[in-house]
Amino acid sequence: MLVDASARELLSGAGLDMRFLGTREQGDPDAMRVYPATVDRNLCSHCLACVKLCPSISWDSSKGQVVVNEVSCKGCGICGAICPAGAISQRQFGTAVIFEILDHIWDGNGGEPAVNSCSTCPMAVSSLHDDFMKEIPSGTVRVLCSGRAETIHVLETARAGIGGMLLIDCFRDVKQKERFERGERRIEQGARLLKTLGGRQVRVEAAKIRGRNMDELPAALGRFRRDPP
Amino acid sequence: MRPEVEAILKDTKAFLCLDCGKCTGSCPIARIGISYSPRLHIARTVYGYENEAMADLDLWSCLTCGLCEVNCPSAVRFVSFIEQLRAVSAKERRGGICAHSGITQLLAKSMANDGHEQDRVGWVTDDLKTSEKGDVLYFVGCLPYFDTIFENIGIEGTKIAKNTVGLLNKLGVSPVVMKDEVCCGHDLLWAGDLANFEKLARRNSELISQTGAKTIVTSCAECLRTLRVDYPRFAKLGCEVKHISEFVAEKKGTSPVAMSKLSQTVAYQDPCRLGRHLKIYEPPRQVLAAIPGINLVEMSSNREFATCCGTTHFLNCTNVSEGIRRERFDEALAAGADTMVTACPKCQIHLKCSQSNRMNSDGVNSLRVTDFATVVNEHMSAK
Repeated sequence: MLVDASARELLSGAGLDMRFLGTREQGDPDAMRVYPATVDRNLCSHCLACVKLCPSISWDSSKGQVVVNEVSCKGCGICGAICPAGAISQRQFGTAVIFEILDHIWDGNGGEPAVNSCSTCPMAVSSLHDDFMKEIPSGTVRVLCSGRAETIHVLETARAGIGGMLLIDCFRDVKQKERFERGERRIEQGARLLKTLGGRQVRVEAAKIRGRNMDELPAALGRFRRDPP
Repeated sequence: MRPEVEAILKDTKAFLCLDCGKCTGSCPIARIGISYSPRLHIARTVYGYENEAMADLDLWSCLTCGLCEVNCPSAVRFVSFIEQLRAVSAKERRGGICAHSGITQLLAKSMANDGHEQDRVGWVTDDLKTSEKGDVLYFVGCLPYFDTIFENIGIEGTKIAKNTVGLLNKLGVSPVVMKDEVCCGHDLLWAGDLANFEKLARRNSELISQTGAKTIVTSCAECLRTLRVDYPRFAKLGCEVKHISEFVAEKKGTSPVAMSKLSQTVAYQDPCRLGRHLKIYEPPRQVLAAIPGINLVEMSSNREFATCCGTTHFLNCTNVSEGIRRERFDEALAAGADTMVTACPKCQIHLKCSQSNRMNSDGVNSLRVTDFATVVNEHMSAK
């Protein structure tokens, strides 16, 4: 993993462990190169979290997949970090580096999240580890950040034929209780709309996750497995 | 120039544009968002730069409120121009930015394609008289959905529906309310999605013809415009479509109704669909003015020059829309009003959304925004 010297300085100034970061010499032609993100179609669950996040990623309905505009992609890697399915990788920042950054975001403040609201969190549903996501059969459950859940997600999930949604909530008992309550309210509104509209219902489970301390996630996923939506 | 664009220019008489700029000068969007210009839209299209005109995000910012048409010396039909140009642009997968995450458009698309059995008449309580078949049909529209979508800004969609049925009951009519009515498709039509709009239009006209209705009453100005003007292009409806204010104004003289006192200063907000699109200015005012004790005032811009509520078809709602609403609130306060009555649930949604977004500065939040049918029904009693 290579970054140029100024980026290295910046990152170490932010108190990040540089174990994963190599150094790139000035004048190296590769220093100017941007590596666009790539999407693994087999892992992608079509949650479109990346599409909402980044102007360079779009949903191609004719191909039925998420596509990265390789010309405009800046290679920042945030899409890779927020992808709940771990389907996006970015060559400048591998998963390990991204998790390193996440750890500091989550535990930079004596165990309390260093970011104090979802709106300043670049990662949102970020810290879901590949291992956990592999346990979700593809296309059966949609994973959403409670701070970003909207009424429309319930309807979209139902229209896509997906029966379940998992609401990830980092802040329930920390600082942003109302964010979780807002997410819960939106989901409940979505369920009511779906009832008025007719059609299949979507099951919603909430899991309390803080950073990578995902104690509740296996249990929540287990509930979906035992009782498939 | 592409033939389909040339046809639009001919149809809407855009070739007659004098380039005078009265449209841009009067446009509520251009007044606040200075980069927007209806004149530029026409000019670009006429001079063969239609691709630029269609790729411009501002194509979707137009409120289609029609204020420019009132001022245009060449009678260019700008609203229709925008509608048709959007339909061409939408075929190339372009579109505006949907407000409220696009939920109204998604609901309409879902109703057009999924064919689910809806549960939409839960609001009809026992005290309301409705029927399965009859001469008068009440087209409810999306009101049962608005209850849920906009509950956080205090919209009670079914309250409007209940009051409309109550009002019809007092005039001796028990209207047909359809269990499986679908969205009128207004938002899809103006977003250029003609395919789904046509599905909704056909479905509704089929359902309406089964009830044997001769008159359709709506409580929504957008439903009214869509059913009266746009449906005949796609599906035969074969009945008269009236807004509840027109219906009440016509029937009130012959019906034994009494009005109770309302001691408030009320400003009436002209919805663009009801006013400039369909020229219905006086019936709502006549009915409101007949309420004893009411002090009906006019805002400084009213009737054909009324300022729009700032957003239509839930597209491109930005701080410009907020600015337009701010102007409208200021006009109401300057007229001394404590209540704003509008004849369109969408106006109410947009105005209340604005109120919920801002701190109570200059008494804006103390203005009560309410619906025509609600006010009239609360103050009317059958003798």
